[in-house]
Amino acid sequence: MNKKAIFNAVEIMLYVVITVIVAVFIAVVAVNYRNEEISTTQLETFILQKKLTNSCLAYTDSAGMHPYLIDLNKLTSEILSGCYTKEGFGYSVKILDFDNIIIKEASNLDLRQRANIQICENVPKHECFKKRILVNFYDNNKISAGYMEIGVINLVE
Amino acid sequence: MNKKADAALPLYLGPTLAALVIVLFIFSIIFFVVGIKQNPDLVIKPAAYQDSHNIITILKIQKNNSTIAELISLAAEDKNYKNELSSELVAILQKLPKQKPQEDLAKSRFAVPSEVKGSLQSSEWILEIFIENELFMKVGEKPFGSSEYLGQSVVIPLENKKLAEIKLFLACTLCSEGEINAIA
Repeated sequence: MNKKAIFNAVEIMLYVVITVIVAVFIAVVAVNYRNEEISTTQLETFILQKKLTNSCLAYTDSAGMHPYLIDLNKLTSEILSGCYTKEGFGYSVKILDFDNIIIKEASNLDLRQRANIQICENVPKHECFKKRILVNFYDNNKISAGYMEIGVINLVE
Repeated sequence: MNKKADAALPLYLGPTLAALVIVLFIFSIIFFVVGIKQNPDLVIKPAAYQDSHNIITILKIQKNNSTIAELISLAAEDKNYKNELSSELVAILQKLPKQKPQEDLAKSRFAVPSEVKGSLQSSEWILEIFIENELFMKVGEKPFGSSEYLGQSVVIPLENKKLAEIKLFLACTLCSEGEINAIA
């Protein structure tokens, strides 16, 4: 092998090494991006809350549906499961008065979720989120103000 | 490659490799040390999609056989109702959910930046009623240096045929986007 051939071989090796370094760098960054955790629990809770207050639990009379006026008769596990159900996603809904006394509650939780939601911080691959909003609720021909509290447990892979 | 190029390669190789190493070093720090990967913001922010639910709920709250909306209409006609309306609104605004209170800095063993920031946080719901574009009533005091979040407004007709615009917003000092989205 002459001098020129040796020089070309070294040059090609050098280019290959540089290309590999740059490619590995890009691959590592790309893998990091791909594995980036995107939490959707908060957003899903927001969507659930909108669906509950504007549709599933909203009081309805001859004038139509009243968003954010909760009909306590509709707050049942059957209605909740028909309203929003997703695998790995469970939730409970509580209606409380301003003294934080529970007026009524119902949930769409399976047995495991019911146990896990109490100790959510220690349960791997699960995310929990609690949200409280101001609502009016209709009970026995009377409208009162209070809170609706939604507790969510979500399985995150 | 001709002879001239062969001779020039070692000349340019050093600075080029040095530039590459510097670029990779800087990007390594940015990606792996600082941790800039994806934007930490939520993909879709609930605050951007919030409606006027708080203010609609407030207007429908019943007090002494009349709603807050009716009380506004009465107060616009008769000033005697203004104090009653004001005290009712103060009580209601205090019940509106705010961002979670941070830990008391005095109870903390180490004054980490997040706790210092948390101890300086304060937020208040502010409600303003404008009748025919004139400020009729303002409930709540903006904390010092606060910014406005979760603005909502509705327009309701009054019995005297005038229009009242009711605005509600959260005035918050040092609130993070995540905290605002959690209560949106």
